[in-house]
Amino acid sequence: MTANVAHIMNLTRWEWYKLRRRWMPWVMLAVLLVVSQLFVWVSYSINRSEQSADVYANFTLPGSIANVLGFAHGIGVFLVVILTASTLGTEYRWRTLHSILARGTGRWQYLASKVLLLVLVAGAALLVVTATTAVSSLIAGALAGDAPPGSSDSPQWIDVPVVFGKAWFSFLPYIALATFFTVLTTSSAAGMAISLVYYYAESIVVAIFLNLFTWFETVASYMLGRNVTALMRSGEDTMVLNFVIGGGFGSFPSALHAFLVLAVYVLAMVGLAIWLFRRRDLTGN
Amino acid sequence: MDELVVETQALTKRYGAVLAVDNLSIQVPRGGVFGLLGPNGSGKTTTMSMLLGLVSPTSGTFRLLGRDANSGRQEALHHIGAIVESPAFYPYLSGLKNLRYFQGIIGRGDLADVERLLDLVGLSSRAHSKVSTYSQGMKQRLGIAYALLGAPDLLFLDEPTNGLDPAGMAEVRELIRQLSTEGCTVLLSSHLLHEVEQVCDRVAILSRGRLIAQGAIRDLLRRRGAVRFSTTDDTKAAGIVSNLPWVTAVTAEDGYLTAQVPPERSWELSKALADEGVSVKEMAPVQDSLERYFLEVTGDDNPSAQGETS
Repeated sequence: MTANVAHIMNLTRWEWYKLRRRWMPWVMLAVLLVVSQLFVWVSYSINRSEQSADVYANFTLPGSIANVLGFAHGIGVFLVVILTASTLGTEYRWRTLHSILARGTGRWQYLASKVLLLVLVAGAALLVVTATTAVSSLIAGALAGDAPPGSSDSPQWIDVPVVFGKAWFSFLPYIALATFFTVLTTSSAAGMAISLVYYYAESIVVAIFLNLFTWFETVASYMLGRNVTALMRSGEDTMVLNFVIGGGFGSFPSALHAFLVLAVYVLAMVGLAIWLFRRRDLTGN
Repeated sequence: MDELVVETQALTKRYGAVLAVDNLSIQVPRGGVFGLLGPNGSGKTTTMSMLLGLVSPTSGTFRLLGRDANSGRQEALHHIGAIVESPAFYPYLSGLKNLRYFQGIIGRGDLADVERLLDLVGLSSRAHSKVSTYSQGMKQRLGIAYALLGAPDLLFLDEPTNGLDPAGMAEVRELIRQLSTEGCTVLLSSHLLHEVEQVCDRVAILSRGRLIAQGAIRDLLRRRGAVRFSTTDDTKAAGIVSNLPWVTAVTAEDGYLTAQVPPERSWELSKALADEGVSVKEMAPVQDSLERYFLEVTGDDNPSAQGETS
């Protein structure tokens, strides 16, 4: 057990050695930062024309961080699917998997280290977004001056780690989904395409079926996107989370239900991916 | 038998209706260079892939460095370096960074080892260039450096001279011989007959996934030896020799007779002729070539290229 953990940690370290030398994660981080900072500065611009306590809270601390994390999550899911499928699929395309596994690297340990790295990278990206938002919020707050009169029910400091944790955890099912489809198809493009189509198609199907059949709400409460939205929205009704795709009509499951369902999705998809990865022959592609 | 570093028993791989490797049993002793010789599609790469755990056998078992395929393969692979098919690297990393990565996941060695290996394969000057800028020959050299990471006891080299110019091929063959003398056992797969003949001590010949022959090259060729001789009466001598039960063929050419005869019985040939009053003027063993031997045992009398098996 300890040897396996040490092996996975070592593999994760060297996966990071490779990943940080690719341009893709840095471009994605830049996109995430630009989009998330837009949220702060657009709110700041709105505040200049129509001052309100709610808008002011959107670009000043601590409300800005919680709101930006919720906002960044929607785009983050899209980026995390692309990054996962790419980092795994290129190992098949470049045939580097042969070179890795031929030297005695355990198959499940290798796939686990890939997933672990992506989870850590997703968390690190959210941390960078948080830190950048904190800095830009301080600047925007200083430029805007005092808060307009009135009260706001925007998130408080205590909500920040909760939203951070929910945003981070909500990435996991999509990392697992992209991992599974990339291993299944042994292709970055196919892994990306299937995962993203699923991501968008699910929200459309759920919205349509919920309008047609009331019984579908029970089915929907076990679907991936629905539970991600439920988790992100739980207890944070005032946050700007409408960008999170996967919603629809009807009532959402509870946060605990969503957490458990998503955990099962993660375990099932990573488990299936590992099972496939271990038993499949690696022949010349 | 010497200690075996690779031992397969009835190893079989089937892809649907295609039998890629059929009931293969080979023994590779420690030390020296062992050749897996066969035309393209004969099952060499599939065999190596099975030994390296990249492909699961349909049936059969094997042992690597004395360890069982199921329980000890991963541990054994830590002591094995390999190039299977063409070497594969990350195109956006330099040669040096690629080797550093693979060294990292193997968990043995340091930067100095990587630099030494790059120097050994003649890539020091391009160590910091991205692999995407390397020629096929340079990638092949980098592949050899990769295979040597961690000072393995056993090397699997699948067509290691592919893509190299003649000088590069000669260097790689010299390197393989050098590694062998330093105690590393090399399992070399090749379809180049002359390469195997130059570099290997022992060989397993594969054709359509089946083992045709295996053993020391010298023994295989000697077993099929012939003697060339001239006598005081070649016509009478041909009649005498062709009646000997252990002589398989007698031919006359350029004033000499050639008899297919087991090498250890060639002295009996002289005696038989002398007993019948025919004196032998000259007699010398004819060394068979691996190419001729290969064509005979595989039944392939029309190779597409001279010196190649396919």
